[in-house]
Amino acid sequence: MIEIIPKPAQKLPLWQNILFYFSIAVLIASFLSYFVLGHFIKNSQKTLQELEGTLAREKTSSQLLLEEEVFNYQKKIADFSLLLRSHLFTSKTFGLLERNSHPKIWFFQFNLDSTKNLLVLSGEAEDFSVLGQQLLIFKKEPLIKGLDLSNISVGRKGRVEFTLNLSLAPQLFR
Amino acid sequence: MNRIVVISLSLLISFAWGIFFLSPKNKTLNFLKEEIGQKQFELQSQEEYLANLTRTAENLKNYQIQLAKIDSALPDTPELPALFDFLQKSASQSGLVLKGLEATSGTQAEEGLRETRLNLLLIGSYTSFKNFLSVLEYSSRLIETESLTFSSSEAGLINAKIRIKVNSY
Repeated sequence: MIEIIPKPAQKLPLWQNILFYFSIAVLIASFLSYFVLGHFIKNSQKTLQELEGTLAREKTSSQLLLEEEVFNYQKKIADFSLLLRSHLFTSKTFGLLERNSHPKIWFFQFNLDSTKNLLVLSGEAEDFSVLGQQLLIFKKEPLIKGLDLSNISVGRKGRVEFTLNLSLAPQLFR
Repeated sequence: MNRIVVISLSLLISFAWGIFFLSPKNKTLNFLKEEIGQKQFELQSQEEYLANLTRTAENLKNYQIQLAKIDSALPDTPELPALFDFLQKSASQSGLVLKGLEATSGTQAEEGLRETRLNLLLIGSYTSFKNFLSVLEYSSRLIETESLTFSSSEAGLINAKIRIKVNSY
């Protein structure tokens, strides 16, 4: 039978409406995102190019000069500190000898090698007893690390001639 | 068209678009951002380095006296004429007679320092000799007395031979 009275259009469910608009929005957003990302990439590439240009720019002559001056002094200060730390005060040997020499001993030859801390003394003693006393004095001195007596002979007027090899403590020269 | 079909197609296209077009673009953008961060760090380090260099150079200006002393101790050349003059004057002021003076050729030590050794022959009293050694030890040229040999006579005079070392660049 033919229906004369038209039926009202069937209403779509709400969830279908929401999902429909949502999917359209997602589609549009994804298309737009493509262009937005493209824009950001272009900007980033430009920034990167600028940064690379700045970094690649060579130092100016004044900067190079400044760098050279500072590094030069840095090296000089380091070298100077090193040399100052190893600086030797050789004259302290005289103080050591003045403090520890027997009054009846006469040293006539003095050989000092401060790089090896070695002192060779040639001298004359009144007699063997005085020489023995001198050796004892040197042995008691903490700055004398080693002692070696050699070339003992009786010289003119019966005086005893000798050579002493002294090994000195390195701190004597500091 | 059926709405369900439209919804399905829209979501499918969005998904495919995201996978094949958006994701590579996003990766490129992230990579670029990382590169920019790295370059900015490099630039910042370079700027800090230059600022430090300028600051150090400014600070050095406050130590001109000390730096002049270092320059005097470690000159760019051995400056032997000035050193000979100093030794001669010091010996004479200490009461010694400088009989001989010779310089051995300089040797290049470690780290660019050049060592020059000099042999001095002197005559004078023990006290003068001690004074002269003290002058050498405290001189701004940082003179090292490496060896000294002397023999004394009964007249009280000593003949001394000293080997000294100076440094330069």
